[in-house]
Amino acid sequence: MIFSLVINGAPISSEAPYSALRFAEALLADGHSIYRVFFHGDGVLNATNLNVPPQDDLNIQERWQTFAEQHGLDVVVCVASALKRGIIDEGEASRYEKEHHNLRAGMALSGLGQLIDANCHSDRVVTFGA
Amino acid sequence: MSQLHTLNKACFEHSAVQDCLKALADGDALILLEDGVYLTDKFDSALKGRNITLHVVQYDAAARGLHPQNAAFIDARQFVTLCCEYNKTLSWY
Amino acid sequence: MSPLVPDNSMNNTKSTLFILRSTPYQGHRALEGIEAVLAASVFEQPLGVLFIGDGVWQLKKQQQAEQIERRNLAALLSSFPLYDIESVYVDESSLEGKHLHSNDLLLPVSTLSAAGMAELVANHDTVLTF
Repeated sequence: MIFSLVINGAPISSEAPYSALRFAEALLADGHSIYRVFFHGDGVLNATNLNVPPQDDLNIQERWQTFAEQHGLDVVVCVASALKRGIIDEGEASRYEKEHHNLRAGMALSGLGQLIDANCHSDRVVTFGA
Repeated sequence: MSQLHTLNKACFEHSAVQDCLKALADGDALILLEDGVYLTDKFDSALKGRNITLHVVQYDAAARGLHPQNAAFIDARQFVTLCCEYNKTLSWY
Repeated sequence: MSPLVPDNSMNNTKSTLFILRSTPYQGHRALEGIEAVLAASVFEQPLGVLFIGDGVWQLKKQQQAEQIERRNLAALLSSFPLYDIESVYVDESSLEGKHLHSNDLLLPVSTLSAAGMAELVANHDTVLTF
């Protein structure tokens, strides 16, 4: 089956990204595929590359980036949710004259249309929230 | 048509729990994950007499030191399988 | 056709039921849920909207969001008819529990019993909760 995952929960203050990752790993191991991972709402905070996790603790942001790269996943970060929360790529940083950008490599800012598109092209859409 | 529900809150009075209870219909299944595993016994009672299957994510329960008797534990792959078996998943959080 | 069944006659569409269950001004979850509904409508996807639990507060008339310097959700919700979003439902027990009546609400809605909600859920391909 083709899955899309929606992650609405932030790292650190929720378990949503970790639960979603365990689920995603299992579904690929079982031979299913992932059409898209869509970070929305507070879930966009999983896309920052500026986090410094405590030692010996989970770096869920990095785990997601590595997992996405390993499997060539389409990871979309909702642009409207992201900008207001300070998750920004190079293009938006330039547009809004921000000094820095922090979107993890391999992830892309895009609109809610990508969520709608994911819904159309997936057999199952599963949400992990906080 | 039966649905799959997921729930991750520990307090029975939380709106996510109450909304989930309103939406649960006979034939549905419910997965308790994350802090939702704390409600395993409460849901066992709440769902008695109803044709609703309760599943508990094993690693979330173990992490929290919970070993409820007779819980229908699932791992991540079984979670995936349930999502395939049911037409859609409703997430309450 | 039952009014609870969305029109899936277009190819490559999936019907989505948006379950809105958040209070209007506790963070942006309610706003982001409504934006997802509007996006689905703009992309001409069949959809339904169900307000349940605390979500019914989003429909309360006379919201003065400017008092807390926030964007008024009521204005967005009132635009539903302009987006041809007409399948708007409310869980009747949620209204009763909050001592609200249809004439307290800023949109015309259909109230549903538990059985009605189960039918509504069954008649959509995907459910997204906000």
